Amino acid sequence: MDSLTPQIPAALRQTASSSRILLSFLVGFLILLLPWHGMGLWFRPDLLGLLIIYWGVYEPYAVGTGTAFLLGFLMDFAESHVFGIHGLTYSLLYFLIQFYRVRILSFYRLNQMLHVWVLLAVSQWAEYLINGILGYIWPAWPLWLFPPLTGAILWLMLPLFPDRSPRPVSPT
Amino acid sequence: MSRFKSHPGKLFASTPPQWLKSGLYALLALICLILDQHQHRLEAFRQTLHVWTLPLQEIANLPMLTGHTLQQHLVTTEQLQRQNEVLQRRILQQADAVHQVQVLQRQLSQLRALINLKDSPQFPSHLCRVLGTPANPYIQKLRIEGGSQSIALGSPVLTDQGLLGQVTEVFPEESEVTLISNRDLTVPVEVERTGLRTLAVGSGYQGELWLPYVPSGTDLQKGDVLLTSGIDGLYPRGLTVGTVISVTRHRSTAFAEVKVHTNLGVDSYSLVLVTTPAHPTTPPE
Repeated sequence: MDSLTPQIPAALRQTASSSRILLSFLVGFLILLLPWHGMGLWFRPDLLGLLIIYWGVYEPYAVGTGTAFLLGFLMDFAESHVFGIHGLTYSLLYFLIQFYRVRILSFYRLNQMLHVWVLLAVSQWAEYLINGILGYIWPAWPLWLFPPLTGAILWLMLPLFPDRSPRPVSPT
Repeated sequence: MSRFKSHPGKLFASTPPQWLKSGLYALLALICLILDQHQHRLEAFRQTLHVWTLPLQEIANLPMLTGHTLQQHLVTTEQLQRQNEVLQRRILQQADAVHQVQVLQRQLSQLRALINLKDSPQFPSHLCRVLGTPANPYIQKLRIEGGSQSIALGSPVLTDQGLLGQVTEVFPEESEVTLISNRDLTVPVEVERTGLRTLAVGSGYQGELWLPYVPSGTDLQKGDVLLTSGIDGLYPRGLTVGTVISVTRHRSTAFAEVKVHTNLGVDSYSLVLVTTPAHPTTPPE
């Protein structure tokens, strides 16, 4: 009989507390502020982008386009770059997340990783493109390749983080 | 009365579609881009964000600062003694040079007084600790300690190797230096060998500049040293800017393509010298 009682799909219910979401963004931002440079910059994952993907997929009602946009401002500030660049790329990223959301939810982790990789790469390359249009230099090839890859690998490591995804609530 | 109290009905059938929301935010981002890049209207916002995130920045600076402290603690007495000896030797060597300079300066000001010429401006300066570089591959910047209390916007920043850059952003607690290799910075220079005056423009690549509008026939060759010419009243005269690494002359254009390398390794400095500009000016960003 349990299977016949109507349930809101677990994926639609906000189970993560707002403070947890906020804390994750805080930690992500803190890691971004660390003095990355030289070779370290090659492997620096776009942590805020990754968090936007994670919460955008699992908690779309808590983290929306507006949050993504505001986080873009934080990212621009951390890179001491022109305001608006990451706002633009994260808006694009969030659109793509919602486009692929159901598909990502239904996949197993390795397949999810491929999607995350593509999403991160698109947002990263969009950023480089905007920079190119604004007249800045084109970054070296490792910067096109490695950061999205590190981000995707971090996605694979999600099971290592505590309380990773919303669990379906048993109807008791 | 309660009979007339209207209940707000549902005005919209559903939330706007995702493409519309994302599109509107993207438009907003574009507006911010233009406001910041072309009109510099978001400086106050940047300052506010800086103050808000100050505790986080302090935490993020910790690894760098503890690294410095650890390095200071892990030096052996022998190393210190050796370093001390080298420095003392250098001081002795420089004392002679300084003495000569003082004599020359006195003579120069006497001569200048004879022909009623004004003395060249003096630039007071002070040392600042480097906090790090912003994690950004396309802009050449450096964050240094010391904020609006001690540092003026537009101050030139030097190292023992020559000119490093210019202060372009002053926060309450720290400042941001744009390096001369940054695309947005231009330095008036003169060639040490020939005295030719021209401009050096940052290329956007680490440690690289180029000289625009140098006629093909100009006497300029690989290895020429460029110094600041001081005609802008901002950079003191005679600081090393870089060395010419290639001069390419094309038949199709009237101008030569001149590449310049700075002899600065940005990562290797923990202290820089911030001087005061003669006439406080706004940075050319």
